[in-house]
Amino acid sequence: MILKRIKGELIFLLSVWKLNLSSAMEYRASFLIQVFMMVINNAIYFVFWLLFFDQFEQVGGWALHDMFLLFAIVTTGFGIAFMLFGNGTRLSSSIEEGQMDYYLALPRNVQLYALASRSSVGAIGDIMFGVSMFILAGHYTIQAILLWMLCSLFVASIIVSYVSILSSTAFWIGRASILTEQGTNALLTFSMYPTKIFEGLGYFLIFTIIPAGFISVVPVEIISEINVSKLVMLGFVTIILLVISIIMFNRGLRKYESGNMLNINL
Amino acid sequence: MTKEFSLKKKKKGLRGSIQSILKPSYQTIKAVKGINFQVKQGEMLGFIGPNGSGKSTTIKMLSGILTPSEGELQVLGTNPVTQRRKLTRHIGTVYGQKSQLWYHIPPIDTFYLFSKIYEIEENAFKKQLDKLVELFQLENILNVAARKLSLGQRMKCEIAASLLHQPKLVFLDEPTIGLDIIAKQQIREALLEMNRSEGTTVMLTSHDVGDIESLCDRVIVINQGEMVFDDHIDQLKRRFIHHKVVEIGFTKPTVVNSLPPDVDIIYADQMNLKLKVKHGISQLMEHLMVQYSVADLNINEPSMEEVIRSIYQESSQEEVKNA
Amino acid sequence: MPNVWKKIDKYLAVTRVSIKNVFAYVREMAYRSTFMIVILFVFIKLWGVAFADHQSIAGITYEQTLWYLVVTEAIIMSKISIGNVISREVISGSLAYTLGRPYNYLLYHFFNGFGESIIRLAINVIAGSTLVFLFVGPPAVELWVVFPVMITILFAIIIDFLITAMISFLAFFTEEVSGFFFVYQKILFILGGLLIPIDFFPEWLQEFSGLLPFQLILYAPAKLFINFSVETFNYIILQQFLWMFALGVTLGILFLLGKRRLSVNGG
Repeated sequence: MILKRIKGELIFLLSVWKLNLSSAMEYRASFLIQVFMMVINNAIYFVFWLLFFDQFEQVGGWALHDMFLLFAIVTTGFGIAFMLFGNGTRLSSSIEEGQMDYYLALPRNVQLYALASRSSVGAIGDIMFGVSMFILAGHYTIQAILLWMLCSLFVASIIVSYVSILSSTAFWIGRASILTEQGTNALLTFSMYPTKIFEGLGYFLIFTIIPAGFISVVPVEIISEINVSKLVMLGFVTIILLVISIIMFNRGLRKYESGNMLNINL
Repeated sequence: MTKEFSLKKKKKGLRGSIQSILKPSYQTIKAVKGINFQVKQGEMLGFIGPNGSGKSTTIKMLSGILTPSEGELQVLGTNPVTQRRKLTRHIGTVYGQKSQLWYHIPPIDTFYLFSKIYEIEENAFKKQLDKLVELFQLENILNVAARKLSLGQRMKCEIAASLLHQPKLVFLDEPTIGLDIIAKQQIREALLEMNRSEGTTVMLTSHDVGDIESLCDRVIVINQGEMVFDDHIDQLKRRFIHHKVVEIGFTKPTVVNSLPPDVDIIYADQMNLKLKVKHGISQLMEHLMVQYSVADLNINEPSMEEVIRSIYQESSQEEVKNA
Repeated sequence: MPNVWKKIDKYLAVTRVSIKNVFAYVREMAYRSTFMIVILFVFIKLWGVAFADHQSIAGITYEQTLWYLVVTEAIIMSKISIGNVISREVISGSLAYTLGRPYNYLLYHFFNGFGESIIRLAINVIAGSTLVFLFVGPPAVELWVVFPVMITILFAIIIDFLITAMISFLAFFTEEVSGFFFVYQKILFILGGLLIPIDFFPEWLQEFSGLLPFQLILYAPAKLFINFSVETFNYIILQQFLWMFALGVTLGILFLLGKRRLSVNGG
């Protein structure tokens, strides 16, 4: 019963993703430019690390090759998250402006469809960059490659759950788009630096309210140490966050107030 | 059935802005106050009322989008609050001011997506699609990106999209808003045809009296969140019209000085007279024919629009009195 | 003379209105300054570890690095973001109508954006300084240094505005300009010295960025703040003036060329 339902949702999601892609492809030039821009964007950030490690050999035990691996995981994870569930960044404003009617009027899981109804084109560039970073990181064993793929999926799920949790607060507090935007930025920022630099409060933060540690240092160690027990832990954390996001969204939906704003599917 | 919203109040001016940042005050408004009605299968029900009267809120509660604050509702044997997914499989919704078509791609792609959303079988979908394409005359626009369609073309696609899964009940919230006469006519005819051939129940809100008159057997008027009328459309006139308008043309310049009671002059000049008559039309006519030389005589009922306007005004005046 | 005063008053009024308008969402702006806190918090940690076994790098201490970053981050988050508005007006052709209004198009946009810019700068400086102050204490500078630094920041905002306007006017010639904005922003990140003081760069890259105007927008005011001297100030101001002149002239030419295209298209 449940399996059948999951299968049904997956088939449906596939057709949404196909449509998202063809929608983006309507403007081929703009599509390519956006993908390319995102690659450049990530590359520029990496230039910072090249300059940084030109000055210092290592920072908190992390050297340049650890940064390659870190970027390989974080950008791939963010890329997968927003390629498949790119509407996450707009979910909170949809809720606060009362634009969920469209999803609610359909016999589908509202949360899934609302998140998946748009693809971020730039996210494809993120994935491309992440893959090339993994190649540069030099972990060429089957185990490492499999762990990297698995971790990227976990990381993507954590990111989507986190964005959904932040957005769901809009059901209660009304305006949550800034909270979502700042929270997502904070998650990204904290995960793009060598986690070893944090101690005390910072360390506490990245394993609690801003779960950046789970999408940065944990997967990096899983891959570089081929550490299965940490992988199990990461999977566990992913499931917890997913469950929280589902519960929060559905609780919130009961408080939903519809609005009369003009809306179109872009 | 009742729905409350809490609204943030803001005072005027910069001081007000700062105050509302520091200490927002909330106010509860009742958008819908105790509405109660039943709809039979195959009925076409018109739902009218001024802006902000609670029409859309009611429809949104019925279609499972909003949760009522109080009361019970059952649609197609399901509870919209707890069985939203089950319900939405069998209903169609169109909001005139919100598009469900994907903006950058042709309607046909949105239709295919809908076939996946509603899990419609390939064959059934093709058959229904063909039928709708013919009914709404969509052949030439199916493959044009939605952003390039005119408003009328788009709305026809919107309604067709909501009918793809052969819903038993369709909610249409201002489906003809901003459309020209021809597009309105096509949409009305198509809806009537769907109702005839498939027995689709239709619930429609509109500000266009023509929509209501040509489609609906039954009308519910809602104002300030309350139902002020629920009956057959003919009753609307009978109930709310207490007067007729009589227009008289004279053969020569005439001054009218004596009229029976219950007759008011709306307009008068030397050659023409326009009267509002509550009752006793025949006495009035006799009186006029005997006393003056009448060239032309017309007896009119007020238009539907006038009727509705008077209903809105009446109940909003009551509201003022009550407050 | 009263005429000139009227003109100045007109643009000051624009700034006043824009500041007033900003107050409508000042709370949102304050929330947005959390990013300033987050990024500076990360930098405090990162450079803290990096400086653990260095007294100073290229003559700059840990504390100085952090105060440097307060200035660069505050400027980048407060600069006038008008590029999209202008380029959209150019592409849609509505510029033809806006040009008919009784004000100078660019001055209007500058003063309009400037109001918001000042408020954002204040919020971000307060947020950033408070955090850095809590971790490393006050900057080792005298208070009056703030005023000459403010002047260089003002000119920095003008230079950035000129470059942004130039990119916007490229829309006269090509439909897609968002890519150029993007590239400019990324250039600022590195060659402007946003994330890392240019002094930490390899020699060749330092020389290269010295030849370009980007370091005058972020690096120069920030470096002046942590290491003030009157000579440096004079030198920066001179450089800023030269670049403002050069960019202003280029912008003017671009505008004239573009306007000609506009009247051809508008026919």
